Amino acid sequence: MFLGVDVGTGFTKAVLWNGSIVSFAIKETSGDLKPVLDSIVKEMRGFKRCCATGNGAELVEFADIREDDVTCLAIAGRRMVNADYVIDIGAQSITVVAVDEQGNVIDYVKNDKCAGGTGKFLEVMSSALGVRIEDVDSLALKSDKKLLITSQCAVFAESEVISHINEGESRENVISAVCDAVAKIAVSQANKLGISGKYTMTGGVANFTSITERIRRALRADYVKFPNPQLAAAIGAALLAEEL
Amino acid sequence: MLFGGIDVGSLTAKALVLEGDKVLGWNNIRVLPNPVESAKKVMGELLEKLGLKRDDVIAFATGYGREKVVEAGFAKEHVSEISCHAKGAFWLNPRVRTVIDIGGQDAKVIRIDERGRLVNFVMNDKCAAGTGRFLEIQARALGLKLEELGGMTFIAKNPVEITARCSIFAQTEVLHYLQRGFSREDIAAGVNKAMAQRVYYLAMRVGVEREVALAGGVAKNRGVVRELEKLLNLKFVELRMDPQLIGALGAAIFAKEKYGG
Repeated sequence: MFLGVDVGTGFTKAVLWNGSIVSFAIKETSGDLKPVLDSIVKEMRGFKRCCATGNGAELVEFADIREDDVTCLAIAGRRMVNADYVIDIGAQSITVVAVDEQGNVIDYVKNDKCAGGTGKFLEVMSSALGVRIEDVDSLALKSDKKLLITSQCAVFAESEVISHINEGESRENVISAVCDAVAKIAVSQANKLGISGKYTMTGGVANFTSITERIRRALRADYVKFPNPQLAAAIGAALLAEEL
Repeated sequence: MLFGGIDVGSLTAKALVLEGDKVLGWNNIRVLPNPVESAKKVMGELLEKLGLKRDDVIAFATGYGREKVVEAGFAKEHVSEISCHAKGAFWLNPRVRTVIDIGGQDAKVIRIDERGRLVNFVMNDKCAAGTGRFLEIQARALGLKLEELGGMTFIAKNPVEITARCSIFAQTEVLHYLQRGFSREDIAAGVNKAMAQRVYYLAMRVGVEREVALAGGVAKNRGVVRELEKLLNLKFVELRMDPQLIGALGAAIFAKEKYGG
């Protein structure tokens, strides 16, 4: 069995792998990571090798190897759903990877300098609206009017959200505009690589169908759903630990 | 005849009245939701204070929604903020060749020639980094008033380093520093320094020629001002006026030049 650990800025994900997922864990990445990692090792005994990835990969002392998240996303996308492209939207980054037949990285674009379109962006907007993040999908479905959020900057977009509310627009319509904005930013990243063939979506934000649906409508390529999209990089890490 | 300027910004609205070369009075308020309402209130209060009627003053508008302010009849014409800041700063000090204007939601660096004409400018209004909003967000995270932030630079012992350019990611950094027990002074000083760096990078895109004047609300943050002076390796010139009023002053001068005979 092999362990993949992805220490992201929002959540730390771990996958115990033996040809398929044996067990997994998703824990909030806190200031002090040690108790989080200790509990993962305790829960996931019996692994032969461990590969760590993500922003905090260096902090995983029990890792045998470390790989960058782009490499992990590529192999996970190819092996799990045979994807040629992976669009990953995490807490603080948007990454688009082009993958070859073997699961190697051909090319990628990554934005981790700006919160625009990331999970954090979604979090700031839903909090300005007083909407729980888990209610975003159900509320967006009830939208009956198209509103516009033009700023990519999370700070300025938040002001736009507040203006819409002050003008009496419904939360449903504003949250739908927020989903439009996230999708638009992700699509513009994807278009930098030019998506053709099969693509999949990963990262925490891929759990929001209101957003994946909007991205699918904008991209003219075949979409394939990634099971458990938040675990993608951790799965890729486990696969790389196995291959070593 | 008297001449006036109205400058509606993203956070504050300013008005100013000129008689010849003398500033008769000015006013500065928090904006109302609508720029026309802001213009009406800020100029209305000022006219009342000066004992004047609206017809006594020919006013020009600048800033957000300036066209609407003209349509609503509160100003005769409108002029861009860039031109007004150049005009106002040059009028106050004709040695000025660069104006750095940092407002609530944008930052501009404006180059002018020896006759006060606009040569070139660079503007950031797409990203909150390097604008007043950046400071507002970090001050809130630190539990400080915006006015308290600037002074922290002068009492900090070891300013922290804020690495993120994005205001939201920088806020996360600020919160982490707080959790890890760093002092508010050291974090606030780091915030002021980070802010100055972002403005510095913007200024480098268009280049800076002396003398350099600061305008806009952020000029009131002494910590940012000092850090920016260190980065640019110069001292800003004194303009003998509240830096938030430079835009409104410029608008009033435009009105005077056009209708003052």
